Order: sequence, then structure tokens, then C-alpha cells
Amino acid sequence: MEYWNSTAETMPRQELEQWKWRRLQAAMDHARRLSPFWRERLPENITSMADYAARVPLLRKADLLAAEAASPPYGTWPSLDPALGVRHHQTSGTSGNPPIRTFDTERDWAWCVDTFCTALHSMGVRPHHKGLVAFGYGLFAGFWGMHYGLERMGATVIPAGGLDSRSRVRLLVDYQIEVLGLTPSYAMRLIETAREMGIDLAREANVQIILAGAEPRSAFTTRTIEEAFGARVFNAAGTTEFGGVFMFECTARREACHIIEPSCIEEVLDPVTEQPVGYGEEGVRVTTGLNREGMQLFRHWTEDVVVKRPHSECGCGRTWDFYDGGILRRVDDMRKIRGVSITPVMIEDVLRGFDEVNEFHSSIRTVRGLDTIHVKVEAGDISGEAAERLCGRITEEFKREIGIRPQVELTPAGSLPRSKWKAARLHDERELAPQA
Amino acid sequence: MTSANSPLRPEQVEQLLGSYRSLGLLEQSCAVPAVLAAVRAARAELRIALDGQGVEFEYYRGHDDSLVA
Repeated sequence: MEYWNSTAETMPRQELEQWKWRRLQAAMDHARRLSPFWRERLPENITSMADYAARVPLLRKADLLAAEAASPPYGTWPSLDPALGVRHHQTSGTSGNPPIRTFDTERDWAWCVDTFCTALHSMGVRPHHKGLVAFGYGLFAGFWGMHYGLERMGATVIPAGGLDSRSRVRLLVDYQIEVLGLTPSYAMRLIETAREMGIDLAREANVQIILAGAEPRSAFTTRTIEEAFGARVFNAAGTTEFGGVFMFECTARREACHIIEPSCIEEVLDPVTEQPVGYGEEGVRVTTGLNREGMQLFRHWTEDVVVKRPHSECGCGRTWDFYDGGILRRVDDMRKIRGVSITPVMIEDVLRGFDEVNEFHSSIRTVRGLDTIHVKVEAGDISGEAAERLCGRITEEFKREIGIRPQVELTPAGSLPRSKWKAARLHDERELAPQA
Repeated sequence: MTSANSPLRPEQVEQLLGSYRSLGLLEQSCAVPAVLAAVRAARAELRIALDGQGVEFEYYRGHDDSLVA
């Protein structure tokens, strides 16, 4: 097994824990000295990791937004003068809140790129490869790090930011590109576009490694992407707040997403009691950054639901624990319908099981006082009895897998919106209904 | 401190730390924009590469200016 940073990736566990503790102490010293925000939140004389978890309060998104609002754009949060920044990124702010804004110093950016190199190297990317980054290259941090990671590794990067889907498919084929970075939603879009162009990606392109990240995905979606491209799909994730990749999938065990441990302390807490859960139990990811100097994070409650497993359960030789299946969902993704808990990935899992389904959109509505799932499905040119049969099969599969019978509606080809970034395919419209 | 299982030889670590130190001195004294930009970038990348090899020094700027190796 080859590693990007063999020392860090295979460091004996006890040595690693001690190293992380020294890193945490240095990070807290830096933050207390230079950040007004952190000076208020970080107690003095923290004596151990356990003491740290017991005494440092959880950091919520609202805390960061309040710190930002105190003196925009970055507020009291930074530990260094923003003039040292060489990049600015921000979250999309789609939840109606203002965006979280961050900057990276040159050192921060070098670290961020290195986390991508760690991930890409683990997936098999090497200097002789060509990589296409199908990403908007905007304010959102997204795949910027992948672009620069490919460069640093010595691979050839093809920045396909401003191109449409047909041009991207053409590039994949014409240049026989081996590495592709994009969201799972957009991978599905490229597959559909290639079909419209009469191109068999598995046969005519040469994609071998796909980094499909930035959103949870179902097993069906992974399989569909892999079959269509004839390539292996890997998972990886980072956040704007954290500033780099914190986990990546290795080649040894499917869906084993190793935590880049020297860069972070990852606690997993029960969503209600906020107490630690054990290996193999679901909980919310709480992260502490150990590398970034400009904008630091201590005990950030991410709302990502994860299951951590010990490194020994993966055969890759890394001593870094892993999240099984990556980010399973967001805490706030879960919806209750007639007592049944439903997430977007559960719906995707059912619908991707139907080869005929090209795209879908689902919503939760209240119909005559009863909460119902309404599913709009695009399924090519199917009509008449075939359409009725497909709707019936989807309804039965929903009932069998999720326990709810949905209303299924077939819509014309191309009528549903496609996503180039994170797809939102489940909308809860119950709040919009007039209250009785 | 250097990790016991580093594949870097001790003399290589010393050479790299020496380079880092030299680049730091240049960063403080050089006024040529093109050279200064290259020095800063090289220093940032060298620091993270050494960090990945478990070489512990200068976690944060201004926090520990003496190189501990």
C-alpha cells in the first residue's frame, strides 16, 4: 500500500493520540492569544482530551453567524488579520441564513490542498493522470482543493468550470481523462447527457477514478455511476468552515471513509444527550480543526450524522479511524410522515432501483389532513399502460421499503430541474399549507 | 520532534528544516515581489510536507519561532 504521507497515515495509535493532544494545545494557545471570539469560549488550563470535551462548549452555526454579524465579513472569529488571506470562500446560505464566510492564509491553503492530495493519492490518482473538475469554480469551496491537489501531485488538471454538460462529456471522451471530480447528482446528469449524445461512457471514455462528494448518496446511485462510467466511485468530504477535506474513502474497504486525524479531532455525540457514542453507533459529528491558522474551529456541531469504526476494521494499514458510509445524512434531513422517519437518501434508494427513472423530485404535502409523499418522476417516453405499471411498481416498492404509499406522477422528459451542485430532491411543503 | 517511523532520514529532516529556516530569513529580508511570493509559497508547502512526516515545529506562526527538531 502506498500513502501520500506514510508517517502520519500509519503512525501507531498511541503516538497519534499524543501528537493530536500537542496539536490541540498549540491550536488553543494560538486561538486564545489572537481571536476575541475564541478567547471567550476556550477555558484556560485544559488538562486532557477528556477535559477539553467536558469544558469547551459546542459551537453551533448560530454562534458563528453571531460572531460574523459583530463585524462583517468575518467578525470576531479570525485568529489572524484577514489581510493575510489569499482566498475567500463562503457557504451558499441556502437555508435562509447569511453565509458563513472564511479566508485562507497561504499556509491554510497549502494544508487544504494537502488534504485533497491525501485523499486523491489514496484513491489511486498518480502524476501521469489527467483530471477533470466539473465544478462551478465560484465562492463555494467545493472542488477548488481538488483542482490544486491534482496540480501539486503533478497530474494534469482540466478545469471545466464554464462548460456545459455536453462539452464536458466531449472532453472526457476526446482527452481520455482518467479522474473526474463532481457531485453524485451531477454525475447522474452527465450520464443522462452522454446517453442523449449517443455516447457510451464506459466504452468510449476512460474514466477510472471518480471523486463524487459534497452530498450524501444512495448505494444505487453509486452503482449506477460506476456502471455507466466503468469506474470506481470514491467518497470524500470537507466543509467551508473546516477549510479542507476531513475524510476520504480508501481502496481497501468500500465506504470506509478515513478521518484525516492529524488535522482534526472528531467526536461523535448523541443528538439528544450530546454525550459520546461508541464505535458503530450513529451520532452527530463534532469537529475540531488542528491545522488552520486564520479561522479555527473548536467543537463544531456539524449536524452530519455518522457512524465511526476503528481503523483496524479496514485493511489499508492506516491507523486513522473511519466513518462507515461517510456522512449518512444531516440531522435536519430527517422528516416524519405518519410516524415513519424518512430521509432523502431513502427515497433516492428506492427510485434509483428503477432503470426507467432518469430524474425525480419529491415533496411532503398535507392532503385532506394527511401527510403524503408526492413523487414526480421522469422516465423517458413511457406512456399509457406502461406508465401506469411503472407508477404502480414504484408505489409498491415505496410501501415495501419505507412503509409509506406515495402519490406518483410521471412528468415529461426534461421537465424536472437538474443540479450542477448539491441536489435538493425532497421538499417539505407542509409548513406552507394553511394552518387549521 | 520527529516521528520514529518516518521514512525520512535524520539528515534529510535537518536539510529540510534548514531550507525552511533559510526561506524564513529570506521572507523577512527580501523586497523583490516575485522572489518574496515564491519564498512564501515554498515555505508554506514545505511546512505542510514536513508536518505530514510527523516533524513537529512551528505549528502556528509567531507561536514558536524556534525550530524544534
